[in-house]
Amino acid sequence: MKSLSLRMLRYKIIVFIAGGLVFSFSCSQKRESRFSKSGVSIIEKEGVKRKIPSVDTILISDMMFQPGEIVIPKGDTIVWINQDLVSHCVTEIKSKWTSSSIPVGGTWKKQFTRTSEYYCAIHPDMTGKIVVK
Amino acid sequence: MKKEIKLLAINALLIAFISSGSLRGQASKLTDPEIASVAVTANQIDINYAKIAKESSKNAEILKFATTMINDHQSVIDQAVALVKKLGVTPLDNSVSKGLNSMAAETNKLLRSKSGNDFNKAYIDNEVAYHKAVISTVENQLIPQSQNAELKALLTKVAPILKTHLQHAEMVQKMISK
Repeated sequence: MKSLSLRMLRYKIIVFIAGGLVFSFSCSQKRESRFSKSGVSIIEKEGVKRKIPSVDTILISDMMFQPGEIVIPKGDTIVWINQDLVSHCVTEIKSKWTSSSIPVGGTWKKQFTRTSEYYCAIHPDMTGKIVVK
Repeated sequence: MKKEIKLLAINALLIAFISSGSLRGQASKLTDPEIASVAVTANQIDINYAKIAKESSKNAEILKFATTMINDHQSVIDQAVALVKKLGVTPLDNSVSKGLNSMAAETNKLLRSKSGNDFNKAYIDNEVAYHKAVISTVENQLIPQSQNAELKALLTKVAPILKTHLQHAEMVQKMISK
């Protein structure tokens, strides 16, 4: 009986020491972890948290940009996918940039650092807005 | 002025003709091959109007609009043709498509008789009237009467294109009238 309880005690001590070694080992390494909060991916490196820019999608269908207005963090990229029957384009209303013609089934992408209002220069009634927060 | 009135009268007849299908002499119900023929014909007619505009007009807005009409309607024709080929359907000429072509021939003749701003006004006025007529036909006849689900879906996607064209035509019409 005494030898059994001693064995158990030895076993617990070994497990406790081993656990402590693993913990201190992991603390000493550069830690990198990824977690998502509200759809935003964040990387932690050397104790500093940085947001990973992500990609958002706007569909062009039924002669509309869908969604017509999207709110994104600074640095995110938007991909437009033309699912319509005709070619479209994406042109900033102040004409700072344009995709040129996006054919049926085609895509175009752009990274955003500021709010932009845009339209389809081929079909001027089609408008959209990217709001950068 | 008399020619413009005649052009508008032709367009009004076109609208009434397409909507009633009265030349068929019976309740107007089209089969899928006939619907495919009407769809292709209606798109081709607008391409032909746009080609006349590109030959006859020097107005930047008219030329830009005409280019869009050629590109968009050709894209719709290409996809309609691809679909009917996939479905094994042969577009069937019928009294509606023949009637459209006949009236388009009259309109083409009238447009070619005009020049300068008279042409610009006649062309864009015709585009507004024509798109209104085709939208009505697509929504009230072609979509409800089409039997095949993919053909119906294609026509349903065409309707917003026509409405956008109408809005664009009305915008250009306002510019021309200034």
